[in-house]
Amino acid sequence: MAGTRPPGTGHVLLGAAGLPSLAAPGDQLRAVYRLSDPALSELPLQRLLDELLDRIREILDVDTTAILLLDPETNELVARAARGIEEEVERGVRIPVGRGFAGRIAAERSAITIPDVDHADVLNPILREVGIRSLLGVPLVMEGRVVGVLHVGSRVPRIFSTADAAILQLAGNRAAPAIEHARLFDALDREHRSAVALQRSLLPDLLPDIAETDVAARYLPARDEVGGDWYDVLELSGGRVGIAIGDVAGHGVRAAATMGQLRTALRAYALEDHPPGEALRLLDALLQTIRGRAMATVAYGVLNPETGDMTIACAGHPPGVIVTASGEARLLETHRGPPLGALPFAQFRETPARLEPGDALALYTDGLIETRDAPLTERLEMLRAAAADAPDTAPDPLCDHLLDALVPSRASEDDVAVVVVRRLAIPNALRLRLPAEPDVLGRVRLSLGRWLRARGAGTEDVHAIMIAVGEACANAIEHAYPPGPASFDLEATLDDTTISVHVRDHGGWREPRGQHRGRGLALMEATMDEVDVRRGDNGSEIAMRRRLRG
Amino acid sequence: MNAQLARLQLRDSGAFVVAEIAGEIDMSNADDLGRTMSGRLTNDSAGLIVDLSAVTYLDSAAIHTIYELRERLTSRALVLRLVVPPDAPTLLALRLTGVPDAVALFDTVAAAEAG
Repeated sequence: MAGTRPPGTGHVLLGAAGLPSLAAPGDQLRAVYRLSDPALSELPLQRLLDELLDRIREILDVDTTAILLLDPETNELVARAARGIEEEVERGVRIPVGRGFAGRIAAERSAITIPDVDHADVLNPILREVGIRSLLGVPLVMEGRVVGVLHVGSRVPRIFSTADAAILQLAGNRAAPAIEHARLFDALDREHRSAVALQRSLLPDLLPDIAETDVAARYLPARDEVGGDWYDVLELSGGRVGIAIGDVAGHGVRAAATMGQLRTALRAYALEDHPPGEALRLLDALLQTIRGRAMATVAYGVLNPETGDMTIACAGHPPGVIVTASGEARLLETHRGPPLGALPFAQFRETPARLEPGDALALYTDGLIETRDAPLTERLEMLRAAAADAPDTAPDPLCDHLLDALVPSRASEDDVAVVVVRRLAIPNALRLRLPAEPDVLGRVRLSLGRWLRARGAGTEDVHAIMIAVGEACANAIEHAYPPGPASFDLEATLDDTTISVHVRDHGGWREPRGQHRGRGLALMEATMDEVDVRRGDNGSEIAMRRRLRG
Repeated sequence: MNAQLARLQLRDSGAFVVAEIAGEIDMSNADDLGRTMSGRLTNDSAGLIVDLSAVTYLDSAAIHTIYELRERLTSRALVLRLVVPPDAPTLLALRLTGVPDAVALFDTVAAAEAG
């Protein structure tokens, strides 16, 4: 090896963990011992490195200092902190182990000094660019492994002494455990944060706005680990609402990833209109194919907000809670199938349930009722009592109320998910303010149809009024606005046996264009007894009436 | 997040393309449905049969699409046939806008195929 070494390079004979063979001046030594300051180990990695470099620069009276840490995946040294040669970090310098000045220090696990940079094998151009003439570097060794390199430089030619090397090595030895600790912590922290971010991304970011229902949900990550809890709310065909909650056994990124697969699969089955029991059977079959024998508990229910009828299926999941508008709470006991992934050919029987207007159903994961010292029945009773104690059934405050009562610290060993859906009463008068977008028309028909049926309108009346109101709303959306966000209002009332509907927009009127709109007006006039179009400067209004035929 | 308003299934039946639509048709999806259906036709096609049996609602945008389809097909010497059972909820809007006078209506797909 010695023969291949370029001129101008010298090895300092010093073991990686060696102590200075020469007594360093007392103040220098004291300064070095300052590097073991316990306060340093509490610093985050970057600040620890910066602090170390400042102290070393002061102790050895050098112009530059730098720390490169080993990236074990690429076997490269990566500049992580520098003083006097900040470019090294800014440019993200990476030096392969075994090459150049720092690379050789790491490969040979010994200190190297370069009295004259100009005549040496220095890979990193920045060292020359900033005018460094002499270099000294030592390996950072932790439990026999090289974890990085610490080097110092001088802009004036300098022959680093064995004592300098010993002090730097001592500094390195002092620093290495703290660096390793901080790095490990940093990496764990980063892993935790990215796992939490992954899990968040797998949960719905926005719950759907569904006619005649209110929904809310909360997710609390576990204190130390990532969990596999999830919830979902789905808008299904015919205005039905799917509500799901689940908990993949275990923790960590793997549980979160399995959760993501299950959530997506359940959505797919649900949107294909599979009833809850069948959806869970399919989900179970899918989970059996996922490597690693994953298990999960799930509850999935489908609510018809118009009738309040609900069907729910359960795979080993704790019972939901129904909170009534009058302030009572009861556990929703269902047929409970096995957890998903637990048994071959598992079957999931459905249980019917009912929500009256104003009633809410809360589903949750077991993190909510996790108190180690109480048996399950007692914990469920605590939950039921907390639900009965809620001031009302509005989903947002109900979620918060349950968490306040059962996880007051908001810090749990296990992650916690809660989802609440409330069936709204159908009002006497229907009043909707809607974005002027074609997508809202389906929603309008859903709400209008429910409202009309609740007011006693027959099939023929419902159909006729739906056609007319659809045309009036389409007109407001299509013609009354310049591009950009806008809204329109729909109001429907029943007076004795006559339905009155007003559709108001807030834009300037434009004459209906082409046959298309002309047909719309014709449809309104043919299906309603009276149609009155009023055009104003601040918008237009279509007022329509139809006497119910029964 | 929105539940799909309508589903479309296209299949070939002899020289006809049969389009089965289920759900609701309005200005949010009528154009796309029309384009998708006519896009399936080839030079060898005899025409398009649109099965509206499972459609629960259609508005003037859907009717506009039906008229457009008829024009586009007629110009290529293709036929357009609609399947609308006598008790279909969509029949009211179709009648009120004169569709039965412009496009041939049949009770079943089989009847439409037979012409």
